[in-house]
Amino acid sequence: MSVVRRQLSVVWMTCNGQQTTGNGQLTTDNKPLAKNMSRIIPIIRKEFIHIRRDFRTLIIIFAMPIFMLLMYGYAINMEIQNIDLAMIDHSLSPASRELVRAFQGSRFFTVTYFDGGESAIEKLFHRRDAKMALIIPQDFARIIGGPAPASVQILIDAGDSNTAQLLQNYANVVLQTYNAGRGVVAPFEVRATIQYNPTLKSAYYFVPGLVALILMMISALLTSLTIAREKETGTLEQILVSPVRPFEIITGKVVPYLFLAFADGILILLVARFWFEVPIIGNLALILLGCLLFVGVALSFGLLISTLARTQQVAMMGALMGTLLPTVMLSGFIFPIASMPKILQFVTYLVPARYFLPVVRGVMLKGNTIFHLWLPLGMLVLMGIFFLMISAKRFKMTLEV
Amino acid sequence: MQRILYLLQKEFRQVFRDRAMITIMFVVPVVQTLVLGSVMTTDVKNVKLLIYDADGSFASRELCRRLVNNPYFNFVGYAESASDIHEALDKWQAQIGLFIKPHFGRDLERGLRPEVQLIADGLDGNTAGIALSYAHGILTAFAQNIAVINPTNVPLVGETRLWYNLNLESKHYMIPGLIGLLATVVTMFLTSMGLVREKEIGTLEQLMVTPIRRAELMIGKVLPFVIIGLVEINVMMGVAFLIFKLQLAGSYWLFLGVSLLYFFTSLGLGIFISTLAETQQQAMFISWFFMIFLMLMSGFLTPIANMPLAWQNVTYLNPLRYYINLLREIFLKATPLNFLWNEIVPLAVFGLLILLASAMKFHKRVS
Repeated sequence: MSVVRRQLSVVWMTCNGQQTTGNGQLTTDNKPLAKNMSRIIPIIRKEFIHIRRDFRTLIIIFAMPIFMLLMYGYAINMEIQNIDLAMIDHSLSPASRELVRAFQGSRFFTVTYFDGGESAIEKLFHRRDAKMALIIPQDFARIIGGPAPASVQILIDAGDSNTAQLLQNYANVVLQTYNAGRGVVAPFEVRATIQYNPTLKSAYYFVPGLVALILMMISALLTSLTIAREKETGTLEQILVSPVRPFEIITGKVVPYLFLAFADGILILLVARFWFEVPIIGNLALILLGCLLFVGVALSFGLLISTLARTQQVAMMGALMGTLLPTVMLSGFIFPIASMPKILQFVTYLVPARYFLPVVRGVMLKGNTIFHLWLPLGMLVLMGIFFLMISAKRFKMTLEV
Repeated sequence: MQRILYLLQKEFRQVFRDRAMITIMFVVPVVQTLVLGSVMTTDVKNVKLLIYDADGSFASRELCRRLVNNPYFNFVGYAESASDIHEALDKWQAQIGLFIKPHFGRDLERGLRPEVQLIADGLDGNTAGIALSYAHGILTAFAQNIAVINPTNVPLVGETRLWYNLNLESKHYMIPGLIGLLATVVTMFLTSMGLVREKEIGTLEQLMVTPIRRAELMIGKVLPFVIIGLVEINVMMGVAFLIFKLQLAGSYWLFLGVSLLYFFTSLGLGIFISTLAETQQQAMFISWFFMIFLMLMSGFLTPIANMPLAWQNVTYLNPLRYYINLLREIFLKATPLNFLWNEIVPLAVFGLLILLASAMKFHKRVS
């Protein structure tokens, strides 16, 4: 066993070298490449056969990305539209009708007239017939032309704070337009320009982010599952006693998923570009470099999980808890990190996707170059090396037992 | 009846003997409520703000001061030029920039309507929209302060009143939803796993050869999880009250009642999954798939009204949609029962259908 161990540590060192310097490394080994490859390729082929046979793996690889794209591309949408606005016009004057028209003209509101006081509005909110109510007072027409400040009441069902916030904003924009129409202008003008995503589309944000989620899922979840499965069925030992070297086993096991992860990543980028029409402003090669580093981190994390887990079930739970949940929750994928409590903000520094998301989003939408992104890319490299070192160490230990 | 009681006794013994089960049931939901409750927020805070004040007059400095002192913004510093703002946005160092042009103060005094520029990073559309609205609000208030001096130029203002959630904190909206979500996880997962485990180790066969009837077997299997589910939502509500300072505006009994109604559906789903799966692993996997669908199509994260119409129609098939709606209505708005039938009736129908379907699939025999 000690021979195996010594060989393994040599092997892992070359592995590290490969991770950072690229794939030309294999040839510099004193063993001929052909011999290595002749042993690795059958393992790769065997792994592909496994994948083809396993329904569950097929679902994760093919159905999940499509499912996720549809869900995050359409179902998770922060852009509000067609909000039911209850218009309670006590004035019924030309001036008030002009204001109503201003609201009808906004694409955010669907205006319906109602009558009654506050209790009627409460009922409207309870029945969920309206999310917002605008009350125009009886003396509106008289006051609006005069020197006294005029006001209308805006009531918002603020249960959903996010929507309420945006509604408040849109209502103010409509009022400003109305004021400008009457020739009343603020003493200075505020001009807002929105960079990178001028129409504030949610898909611009979520669809590129999905690359991180899918890469993580395939690299970490499937890698850890495949090794745990061999362990569970006892076939890992059979492979270990064959003349195949452990390094070749790992390479053979990892390469198919590397391919699939990349294929899925590219699929998502294509859908993002051509279906959701998210622009890719920056350098595509830089995105792919980011993907490569991220997949490296995810794969080494998957290896780590597989060395810790004895059964597929534990591996799956570990992968879900250790990778998927943090990637969804604690990376800035959906929820902004800056809004989290301080403690959880620190935790996010340990989540690889936190560093990968700015790379995908930055290159795609901001046209970021490597000069902007050296920090997150560097962090990914460091994390990859770190996990690889730990899992190499753990892998040796599991072989000894 | 006697037989059901015996079965109940057995189930509870089985559940409480398993240390891992107890952890899954009680520790995990508390931790999840704590962590997810603080993470799942759509509040926009600490928006990184960069300012380039090319004027430096009294008015411009006052304007900057108001933005800098606002708790929603995290002021990262003054820029040296307008292009610095763009560069900072490129480098993720700022999310919103304020650019005050030279002679702002002078032009303001002369009534020349100078321009103030806000530049926002729109990548995260939601954050950008809300950050801009904060900034706009502050600038408008500043403008109104100045306008008071000039009485011929009185703008119409909206007096906004926010009902049910005065401070616009998203936790009041997200945590009731989270309770619904976690209650689903617990009841659906536990039922399916429990049934499949008996299948796996073969004790279900033993139960099937006893004189117990199919209905009794199902009731005996499901009832413990109904009770556990009820205990659990109370535990989560405790966390919501104690840690997140939530309040239950509506009736507690209505809350329990609709939860009970919903559990028929979620437990029915659990039984249904157990008839599809042969191993615990499969059960877990199928449950997971169901869960993602239930969660994303329930309006838990973003309002259903924002979805495309076809998607909105699909959500009517999602029982969790109704339950989460009910929880939010009861927790936040104290909506009385007579306005909730639109949710309660579909839930009852779902519960009935799913229970019937699973009862038909759940045969008291082994294949």
